[in-house]
Amino acid sequence: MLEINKIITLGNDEEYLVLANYEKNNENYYYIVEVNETKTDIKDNYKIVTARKENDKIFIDEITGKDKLKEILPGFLEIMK
Amino acid sequence: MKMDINNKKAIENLYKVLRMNIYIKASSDMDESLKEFRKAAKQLDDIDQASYEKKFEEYIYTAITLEEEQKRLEEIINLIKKRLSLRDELVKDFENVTGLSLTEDLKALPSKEEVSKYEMRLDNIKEYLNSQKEIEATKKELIDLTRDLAREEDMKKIHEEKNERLESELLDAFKNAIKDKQYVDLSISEIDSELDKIADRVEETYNTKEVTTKCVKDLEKAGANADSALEYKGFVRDAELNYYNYKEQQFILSIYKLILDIQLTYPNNSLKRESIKKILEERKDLRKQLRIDDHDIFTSLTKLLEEQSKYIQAEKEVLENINRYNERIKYKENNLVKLESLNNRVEILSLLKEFNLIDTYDEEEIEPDYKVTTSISDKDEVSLKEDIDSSQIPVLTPIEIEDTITDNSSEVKEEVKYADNEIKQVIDVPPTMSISLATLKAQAVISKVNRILNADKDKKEEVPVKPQTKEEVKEESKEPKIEFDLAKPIKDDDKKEEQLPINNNITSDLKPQNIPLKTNPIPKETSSILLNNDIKQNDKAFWIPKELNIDLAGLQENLTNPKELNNLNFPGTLNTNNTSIPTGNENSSLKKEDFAFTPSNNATDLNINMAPIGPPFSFGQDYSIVGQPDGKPKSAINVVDVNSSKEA
Repeated sequence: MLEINKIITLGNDEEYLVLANYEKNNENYYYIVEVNETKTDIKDNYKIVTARKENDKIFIDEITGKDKLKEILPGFLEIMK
Repeated sequence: MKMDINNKKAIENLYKVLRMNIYIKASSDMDESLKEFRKAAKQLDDIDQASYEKKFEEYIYTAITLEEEQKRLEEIINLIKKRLSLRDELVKDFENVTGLSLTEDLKALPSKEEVSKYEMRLDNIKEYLNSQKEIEATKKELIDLTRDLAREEDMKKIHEEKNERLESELLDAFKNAIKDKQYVDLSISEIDSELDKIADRVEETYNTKEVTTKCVKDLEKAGANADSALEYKGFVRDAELNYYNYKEQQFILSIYKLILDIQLTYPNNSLKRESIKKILEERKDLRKQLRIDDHDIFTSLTKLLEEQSKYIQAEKEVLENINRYNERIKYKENNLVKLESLNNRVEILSLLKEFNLIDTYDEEEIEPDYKVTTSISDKDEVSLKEDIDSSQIPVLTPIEIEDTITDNSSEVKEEVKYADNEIKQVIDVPPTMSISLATLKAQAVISKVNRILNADKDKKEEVPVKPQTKEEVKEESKEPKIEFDLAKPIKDDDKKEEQLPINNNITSDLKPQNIPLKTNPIPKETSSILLNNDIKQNDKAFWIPKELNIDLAGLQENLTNPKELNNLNFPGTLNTNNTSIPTGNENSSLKKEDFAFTPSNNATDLNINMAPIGPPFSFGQDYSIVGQPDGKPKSAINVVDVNSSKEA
């Protein structure tokens, strides 16, 4: 749903670069990082999110929780090598 | 810096040695050599990569002017190309020597698309700057040409004013020449009437002359006598003079008519004078033919005409200059229009807007630089002129989201509100952003977090050990467990806390623990553990103080009490102050004398290979012993420093 190497702007005007996509158990996870205002660099704000579509709109949901992250992070590590 | 250079030199030397080794198959263990060679290659690449990344970071800034941006992009492109070239050389060399591929072991580099994005941006900037220079030069030339044209136009006016004078002079000269004649004050219509009358006379007298001349010649041939011949020649002369008389009138009237036709501009004034000259030439020839020797009344007029012709020639040059300048100005103006239209391309306009060289630009001419999916409610994103309909605004992109968003731009009248986690726009990454660098940084973060999570996981999965009896200790002697509780912060005077990245939401549930992740000078009364590698090096037994395994409560207490802290010694470091075995436990029956460990006051005397000299296994029944009777270790204990780059 989200495309790698694109910058998404959220409703709160934060902008994130989509770095990687990892699929597990038919669920797509995305590794995104916030970009600065001039879009020359990234900030220290990283998220693992999923995306869902509702009424023709796309929403992202952040993955929190140690257990879930422990499951997913190794997958990202592998694909980002 | 010097150390880095030396390190690189050392690895390069190793690489060369291994390379030769493999190349000539000198090594007895080729697999090992290949492995080391690959490792050396990767290290070299890592060093180059680190240098490249460090250098690259210098160019991650926002340029203020286009010239600065041009320079920045040139540096970046050169840097990336050099890096790619170095990588390419290394990979090819490795493959040539080993026949194996190296690329899968190496970190990703900027792709061709990224480089071409930079190059395209640079090309656009160069194109704009060059065209701007040309525009400036053309404008300057136009100013010069316009100035020259104006000068020539002034000359033209001067000539036109003088032409009136020339005409007047010509008329005066003519009237002066014919003052004795009866034609002085005739008008053009009267001249025409006179010319009509004279034309017949001219013809008649011409015929008379011709016939008379012919007859007299015949008579001469026939042998007329001298007196008669002379008389006949007189008849011919009279006929000639009669003819010339009317012809002269014709000449005069013709010239008069031309002179009276005032011409103030070139080429008419020139054509007029040429016609007059032609008539005067014809008259001159006739006078010569008819041997008319009397004073030529038009000598002065002829001279005046020559002078005036030179002046009129100058006027001709002025007019030609004016034409030339007009043509050049037109050409330059066309050129200027072309250059300016090139600068109106989307790519250039967006650059100009980016660098605040223009406020806005007409979107009707535009295909957007970045692909935008939006319902066009955010007018800050796109600069619009007031007279552009929203329906003309270009919208969408080829990405998936496009399909889900309908273009309601013409219908949207209210501002659309978005949820905080709703995606309202997706754009391409601009050339100013280095994706590869961002990926590297993100990779490092995710790797670190993963390590922390797994370290936490390992610790939490261990079963807390209850205080054991002596019997239980003996049974478990072969597989001791070490655990420390990460839950409570460990305080140390010299600790250096490693914090997780600020605002790292991934770790939002994992509050950074105040864990002393680097080794600290260990207070006197601490325990030490010689770890696997020590054992391997020494092949001697090592002991684990009872406290760590048995008295968890004591350990916990120690962990919170920096003075009685039982630190773990990580491999490769020394407990320089450790000359005794843990005495934190008051219940310990051991004394220093129980251990044949030579105390030293000099830290440098201690080395990792030192081991107890005494009997390997009979240290007392309070301590668990790890190792075989022969002193070789049975099992290894790994302690992972979650924040070190290597695992112990």
